[in-house]
Amino acid sequence: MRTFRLLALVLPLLLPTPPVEVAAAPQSGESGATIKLLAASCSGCHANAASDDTFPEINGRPAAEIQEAMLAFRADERKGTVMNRIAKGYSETEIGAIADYLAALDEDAED
Amino acid sequence: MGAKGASARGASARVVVIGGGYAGATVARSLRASDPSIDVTLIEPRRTFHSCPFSNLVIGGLQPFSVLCFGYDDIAATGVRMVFERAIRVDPVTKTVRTEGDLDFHYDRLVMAPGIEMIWNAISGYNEAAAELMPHAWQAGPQTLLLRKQLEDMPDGGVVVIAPPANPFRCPPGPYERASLIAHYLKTNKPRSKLMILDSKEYFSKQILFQRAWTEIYGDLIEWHGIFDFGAVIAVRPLERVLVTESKEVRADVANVIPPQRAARIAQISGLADETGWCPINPVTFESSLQAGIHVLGDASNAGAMPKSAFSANAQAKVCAVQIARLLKGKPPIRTKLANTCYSLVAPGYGISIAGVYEPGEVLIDSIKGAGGISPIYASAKFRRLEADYGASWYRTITEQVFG
Repeated sequence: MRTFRLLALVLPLLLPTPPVEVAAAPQSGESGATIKLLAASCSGCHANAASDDTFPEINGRPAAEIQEAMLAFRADERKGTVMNRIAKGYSETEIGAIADYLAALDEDAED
Repeated sequence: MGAKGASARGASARVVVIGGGYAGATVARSLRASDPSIDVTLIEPRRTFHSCPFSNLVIGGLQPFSVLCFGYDDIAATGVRMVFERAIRVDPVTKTVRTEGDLDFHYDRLVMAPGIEMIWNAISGYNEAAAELMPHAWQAGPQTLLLRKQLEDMPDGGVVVIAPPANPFRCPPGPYERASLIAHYLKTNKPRSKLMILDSKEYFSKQILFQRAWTEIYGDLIEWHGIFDFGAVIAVRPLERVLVTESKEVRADVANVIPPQRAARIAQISGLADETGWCPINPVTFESSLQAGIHVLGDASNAGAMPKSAFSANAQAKVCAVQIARLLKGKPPIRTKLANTCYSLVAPGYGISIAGVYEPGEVLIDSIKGAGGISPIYASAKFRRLEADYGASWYRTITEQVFG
């Protein structure tokens, strides 16, 4: 229910950069490169290469889940430590694009 | 002519990276991952990297020195050519790097990530010889071990002095994490001892969090004196272990003098640094504002609002690798945002953090207003424990990602 409500709120804002196109080709084309760069800082902590499981795994996770979490952190509707502070630096469009990019990544791939 | 042109285009582009720390090692790997056709050479004088992040835990006796040591075998396995030599000259006209062993490396793009050097004698009397008596321990390795040994040898009831520099310098919260973990060691093992911070600053990173935690955990063990309170150290007498400020002289049993810093030597002699001592860069591509074709990453650069941290260096390097791969193909660079998070350990199980999100401004990298900031001033013990765990996890994650 909650997911649906948040998505409904956010989807119209995503229209200028259709998320489908991004998810289909996360590593190619101009929008793919743009989003790869935008997501580059995520892997400072959430890295696939790590054997550590303290940080939640985000690669390969459903886009809606990532997006919902980020928007909730951003609005301080979800408790976190550092993510509330980081999420506030990104627009809803950027969060949607990052979520699509991460969702399309292989959860076992080295990034 | 036509054939030659075609073959030149077909030949792989060459990128040379100077410096195998968090920035240099990350950019070398990321370039190979972005485009395996790029020929990447990493020039680094030491075969073992000693990490500054986590070195305060070694100084505080919470971790063994081995936790800071990383080799380059796994980086070499990604196809990066490792050259264990010191780069001594860069010729931006012929696009060549020369090493101490007289080897020349041609580049299409150069990445300069050499870290910092100390400005000797900025504090009168504090030179390389003085650092053997009053270690800075601001470049990890033998200096880390020296400071640790001095703390171990100090009798109970001794006075430890830490003298941090004015901004900007490597790892802004570092001196205060160090003070915290030395205080933990003293409280546990030498409880009659004192720790004094003689600071050249008016205020410092995460100050309110550190100072509240110090009072809560260490009582009056740690004393901080800022620049308006006789703090700034202007001279030292290493043989007597005396630190001199404008109005006082303080005799220490262990003195940790962290002098002012600037971009490392090779960046200075390559014409990449300006009068600030740091290297100005284009905030989108990290290309030097002073020398075309050379990108500067990590602590040596002036990355505007981004702090000189390993997290920043790693994030910048990932972005820079993509921009270089694009530039080599004649594609335009892309503006993006970067994030940074720095954890500090105040005591075992008690962590705090500072974060920021950044975007390219007109000249510098700017901080995005409303984002980032420090951990809450009022937080549960569980919150502090979680941040301590995240700090430790970040270190395992980043070192495995960069060196593993």
